[in-house]
Parts: sequence; structure tokens; C-alpha cells
Amino acid sequence: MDKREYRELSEQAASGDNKAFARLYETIYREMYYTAFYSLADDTDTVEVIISTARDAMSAIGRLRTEEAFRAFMMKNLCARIRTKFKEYSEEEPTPPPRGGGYDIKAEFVRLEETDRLIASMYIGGKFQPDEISAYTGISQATVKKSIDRTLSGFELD
Amino acid sequence: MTVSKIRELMQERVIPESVLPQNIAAYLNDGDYLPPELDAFTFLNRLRSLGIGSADFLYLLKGCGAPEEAVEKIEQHPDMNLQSLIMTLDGSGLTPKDYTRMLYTARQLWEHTITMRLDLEEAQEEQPQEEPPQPEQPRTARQKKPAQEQENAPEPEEQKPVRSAPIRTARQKKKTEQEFREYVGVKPIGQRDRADEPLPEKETPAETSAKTGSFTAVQLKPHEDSPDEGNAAYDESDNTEENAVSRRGGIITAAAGAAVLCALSAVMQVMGFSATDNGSAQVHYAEDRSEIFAEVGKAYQAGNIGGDKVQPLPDREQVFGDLLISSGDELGVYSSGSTLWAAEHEQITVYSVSGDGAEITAEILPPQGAQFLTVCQTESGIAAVFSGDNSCGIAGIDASGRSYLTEQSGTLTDYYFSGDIIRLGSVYTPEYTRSFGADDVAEYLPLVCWNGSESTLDPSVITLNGKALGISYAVWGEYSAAGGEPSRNAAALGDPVFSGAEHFTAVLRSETGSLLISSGEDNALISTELGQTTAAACGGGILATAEQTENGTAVYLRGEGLQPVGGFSTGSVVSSLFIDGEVLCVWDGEKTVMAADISKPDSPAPVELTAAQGTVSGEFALCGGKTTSGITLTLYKLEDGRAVQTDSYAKTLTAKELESFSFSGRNTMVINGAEQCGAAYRWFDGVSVVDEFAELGKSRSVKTLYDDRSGFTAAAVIDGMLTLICGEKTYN
Repeated sequence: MDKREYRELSEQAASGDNKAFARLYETIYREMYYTAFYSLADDTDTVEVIISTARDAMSAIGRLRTEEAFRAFMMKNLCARIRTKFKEYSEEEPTPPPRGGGYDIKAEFVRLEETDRLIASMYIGGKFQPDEISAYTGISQATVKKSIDRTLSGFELD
Repeated sequence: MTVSKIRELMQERVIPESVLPQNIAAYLNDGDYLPPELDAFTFLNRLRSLGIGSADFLYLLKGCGAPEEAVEKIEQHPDMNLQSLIMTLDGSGLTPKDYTRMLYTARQLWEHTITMRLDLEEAQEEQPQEEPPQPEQPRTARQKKPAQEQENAPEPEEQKPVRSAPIRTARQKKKTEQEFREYVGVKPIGQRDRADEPLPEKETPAETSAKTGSFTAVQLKPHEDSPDEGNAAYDESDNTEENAVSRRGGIITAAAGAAVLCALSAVMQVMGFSATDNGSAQVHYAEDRSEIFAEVGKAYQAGNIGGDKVQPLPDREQVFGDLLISSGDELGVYSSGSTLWAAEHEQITVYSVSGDGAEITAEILPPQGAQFLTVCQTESGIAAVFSGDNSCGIAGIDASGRSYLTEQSGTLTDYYFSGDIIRLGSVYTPEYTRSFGADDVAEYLPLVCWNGSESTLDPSVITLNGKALGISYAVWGEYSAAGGEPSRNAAALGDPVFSGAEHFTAVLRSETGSLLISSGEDNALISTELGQTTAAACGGGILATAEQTENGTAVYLRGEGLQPVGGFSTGSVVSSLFIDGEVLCVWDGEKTVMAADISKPDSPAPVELTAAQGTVSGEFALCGGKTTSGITLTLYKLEDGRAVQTDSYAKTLTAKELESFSFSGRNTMVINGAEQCGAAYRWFDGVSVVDEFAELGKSRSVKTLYDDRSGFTAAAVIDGMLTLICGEKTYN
């Protein structure tokens, strides 16, 4: 999306045009979904955090002047919501990771520690680079890189 | 297992309906919104939006366990219309959940076509024994997943698979999906918006050109040996001896132009080029605002508004020897010390470059609805000309981030740089919002606004002709490039076609044709009647006008006194004219179709130009080209009026890679003479997006980035060092 198109759509969205917002949202919803789903491993919570994030962005769209700012807002907000969910989960009864034959990518993620899961979801599923993950989550780049290394070696990469 | 394999597995997960963009809008207002249950009509529409034709979805129906009765009925009536199809499905007992499941399956296939990364030929080589698709044994999305994942998947995935399938490799999956895609009619990426129709028979290049209009002046000399005519706009790469021969042998429009020129001579003789009536007597500067007000009132009451048929500003291309070079969307990178300005149509970014990286210190945007069109470097920074809807101007920014903005009424029709001055020509049509009197000058006179300080043009610089044919103006202004301060302005009231920039030059429609008004340095007005004029251009003291004649369109070259001294006729529509140095280019609204050497205005000669994409810096030009087997970068030097190849770089890419190839990054074609130059480009290699910068010259190198979101965003030579910028990182 070029800057002019972003500017037009964000202005329309700021004046209440939901369809214009949907077009902006279209540019990042896949990354958001894969980040949220493989972090939370729960359909309902995934949908909830994404929709809440979208609502927040809709109300803030007027001050997000560039597409980069929009993406950053969406991902920062989403990460914050995911981490809130992590806290809620920690107060609940832990759910054992699913077992069974075959390679279950979701199960592989569930086995990871929560922060590693979030970072791996962003890195692999959302295709974000370590510096972006650091910016969106507030976790230092060094920690992000270590986490990625740890996760990837756990996945037994070629 | 690789990262991309893990990613592939992750992305097999189908994104739920509720968070898809088309549904998210409803959630933004209604906290309790739930997407509507799918019915037959919605289901069929969704299938169609995925590119699956309604007549081809039997495969999907069977695979998802639709009742046999319904399937048979549809099979027996392949020409069933939409209404009957809906009724059949409605009566089949399929539930919203069934529709959802089928849609999930269809969407998953659609998603996979987007992420299709494997070369099908390679897959076929690896699977030579694989059987062709069996429509009677369709596989659903669920069947592609390992059994364990299916067991753990929530609704709707938790439903039992229709048919189990062995776990397959990614390549096997891809191949099967491709076959399925072909069977059910899912179109490849990029063709989804096209109607369901058979592929046309192979078109001739001329037909293709006529339809797409995508060729530029390269068509003047088509490469006869080029198998990929569609890439002609970028395909200057084969500038070799061999192709030089073919170019020499090419029959070109300009050659036709030469014949036309001969014919034109006769026309010119017939016309005699005798001095036409000088209309200066009727054209005069207004005495005061009331005189303008009176003529505006008269025109307005007669319903004469004007300004509705203005010469469009052509895509500026640069004539470089025998090349016509287009820079596309890039407006250039400029540097001074450690400051770097990267200019694009939508914004100008100022970087402070140091050993630690590149920090963005300032950004300037054009006014709402406007775009930057061209940029020049000043002593302290840069100045950029912009144009928008009924407004144009100059924006400048220096190394310290200090900026200015100057706006002039009207849409830009011409601009001119010389030393520290910038001149703009525009056509302005006031939009009256209320009743007004002679004193309300802001309502009916052109405006100039410098850093927020707005003023109307003085009546004494506005010309009138007493005909009251319009309330629009050809506006002209001269400004300082360093600070944007206005120094001179002028305007002509009427129905303008063009406003030139080099000097105050206005072409207005008149009762009999057109009226040409001009003034020199001494502000003395001179005018003459023309035939019906569609386009004009100024440059190097020459004024060119394209006028309708009984035999088509004639282009006249006029010198001092506005009298024609030479000319030629054209066989094409003349939408715009522009002069670059001593070459006059004729633009038909989409591309340059003819060029003439006007160094001797009394005997214009056709010029053969080859279109190229690239950038020009002084006597050097760097052009990028795409061939059927790869890409090339070629550095040219201007010698004796011709572009002579001095250096080149070639890279081989597969046909698949070339599909995604582009010279990308922004402002990344950089030239520092023959010593250093280079360009960035991007392609998808099947696994990653690859950004590369190839350096030519004394030092040759290639810098590569993988899966970088921004790629190279600018390149410049700073302190003699080639510096690449990628986001906030720099590479030397």
C-alpha cells in the first residue's frame, strides 16, 4: 500500500468508515492471527484479542499517520493483550499439551514457554524480524534472538 | 524441518470467518456482532469471490458429503442457473455448518495458491508416477492435515474427515492442490479478478500494445528479437552490438515522422508562415480589480467557466542521447555532507547518515491531494515541485530540517528550473462559494501563499482580452528555490489550455481558435491568434504549439514574436508536448510517440529514441532491464550525442524468479560517474524475498538481504563512499 492510499484510507477510517479500516486491517490480519493463535492456542481467545485490538486501532487511527505506525500499533496492542491472556491462563488449571501421532505444529507451540511461544509465533508465523518483535513486545533484541535460537533448535531444524 | 516448512504448517490453519477483513467492520461498531449464518446464496457468492465458479463446485460438494440426490441433480443439469442452484442446495438438507466446512476447504485451497512456492515442474519431475486427480475422490482441507491435528482441532475442524488421506510431503500437497485448483477452476494469483473466459489467442505485439498501452517510446524501435514484448517498457537491456544492428534496421515511427516532415514542408509553404494578426491591441494588463471583476462577471453570466480542457502534464522523461529514460516513481536521492534527501511522489525523507546508521531527521509531505513531481538541489537543501487539484507549488527543506511551502493557484501545466529560481505555470478555475463584490478579490483572483501568508495577484499583472470566454486563469509565478519567496507573477483571464513556465506564456481558447499570449523579461505583452490548439510547450526560447488543421494536427515551432519558424505534422493525437534540451517530445496521453530535434527550429528533424528505465546523472545514465533469462544493469556515457555503454552487470534468474522480479527499493539507482554506480532489485526465490544491491564501477560487489520488510530504501554516494540505507541501517 502506498503512502497516499494509506493516508486516504486512514482519513476515511478516522471519520467512521469501517470498510476503509477493513482495508487497512487486511494488510496485517494474517500476521496477527498466526501470532495470536499459536501464542494462545485457543480459538475463542484468539478472535477476542484480535477484535479488541482492531477496535482500539479504529479509535486511534486518526493519529496513526503511516502504515508503519499502524502496524506497530496493531502488533503492540495485540502482544499486550496476548500477555494479559497469559496471566489469566497462569491462574487457571494448566492444560496438558495434546499428544498423539504425527507432527502437530500447534502442539509443538503449546509445549513452549509462553514468552518463547509469543516470540516464535511472531517470528515464524508473522514473519517479523527480531528488531520488530523487540519493538512490539518490549523484550530486548538479545532475549528475542536467544528465544528464537532456543525454539528453532527445539524444532530440530535441518 | 526448516523454518519455511514450519511456517507452511502454521499457515495451514484456516483463519476463522470472524476475523476476516470483510467481517471485522461489523465488529467495530457492534460488540455482540456475530457473522450471519451461511446460506446457499452466501455460500455460492463466497465461492465465486474465491475464484471457484458456481458450475465447478461439484467436486467440493462431493468431498464434503453433500446428499447424493442434490449432487446428482446438479450433475445432470450442468447449465443450471443460480436461482435453481440455490433452490437445489436449500432443499438438499445442507446446514450452515456444512456450508462453513466447504467454505473452509475452499478457502484453504485459495490460501495455498497464494503461498504457492514450489516450482510445479520440479514437483512433477519428482512425482512422475503420481496419478492424475480423481474427481470422484476429492480431498478436503482436513484430509491434508495429520490425523492428530484433526483430532485436536476445534469446530468446525473437529468434524470427522470425509475421507482420510495419507500424510503427504509439502510438495505432494502442493501438486495435488494445483491439480485440484485446475480442476475446480481456481484461477492463479493475479487472475482472480478476471472473468471466466478462455484465454485469448496469442496476440501480436501491436495488438498487445494497443490493448495495454503499456509500451513507451521503445515502440518507436521495437526489438524484433525480443520474445517478451510485455517487458518492453523495461527491456532496454539488450543494448548490444547485435541489437544495435537490429535497432538500426527498425522501422520506426520517427522515420514515418521524417516522411511527414517532408509533407509538412509543403504545408508550411502553402501556409506561407506569414505573420498572423497580432492581437496585442486587445490583450492588455488590467487597470484595476474592477476591470477584472467586470469581465469575470460577464463571463460567468454567459456561463463561460473555462479551464476544463487543460493540457495534462506529461510523465517527464529525460532524453539522454538516443535513449528516452523514465525514472518511474523515483524522484532521486540528493546528499550534502552527511545529510541525505530521498524524494518520492508522496514524501521527502531527510536522513542524517553516520557510521551508526541512518536517522530520519525530517519528513515533508505535499499538501492534501497533491504529489511531488520533480526535485532540484539547492545550495542548502532541496526544493520539490508539487501539483494537486487546483493547486501547485514548491516545498523545500534544508539539512537542518528547516522547510518552506509556497502554493500557487491552479493545476500545474509546466515547470522550469534555472539556478536559484523555479518558475511554475498552472491553470486555475476559481470555485465560487458565495456572492461577492469587486473587493472580494480572494474569491475571483489567483492566489499565492508563501509559508502561510496568502496574497492575491495584483490586477496589474493580469491580462484581459475583453472576450469574457472564461473565469479561469493561466497563472505564472517565479520563486526562489532556496526559500520559496515569490518574486514575479502574472496571469491571463479566459479559458486556458496551457500556462508555460519558462516565461509567462498562456494559450487560451478564443472564438476562432486559440489565443497565444506571452511576455518576455521586460513584461511587454505580445499575442497572436492560433488555430485550435490542444497542447503547447516552452523551452530554450522556443514555443511549440500543436494545432488542429484540416489534415490533422500540426506542431509549430515559434521563436521571438511568436511567429512560426518551422513545424511538422503528426499522425497521432497530441495530448501534450514537452521540450527537453533540444528535443521536442510528443505525448499522446499515455506515452511519448514522437520526438524531434529542434536545435534548428526552422528544420526540425526526427529523433530515434529507445525507451529505458533508469536514472540520469550528468553525462552518465544507469538503466535496468529484464530479459527472458535474467536482468542487466547498464551504465551509459553520453558521447557525441549518443548513449555509449561503458559498463554492465548481468544476473541470471529463472523464469519463475523473473515473475516476481522488480527493480525495487526506493531511490536506489545511484551514479557517481563511471567510478561507482549500482541499483537495488528484489525477487522471490521460492523461499525468501531477496533484496540485492549490485555495485558496478571500479569496485564490484553484491549486497544481499533476505526477507527484509523494507529492503533497500535509498542509496547515495556520501564522502566518496557508496552508502546503502535499509530502514535505519546503513551499509557501505
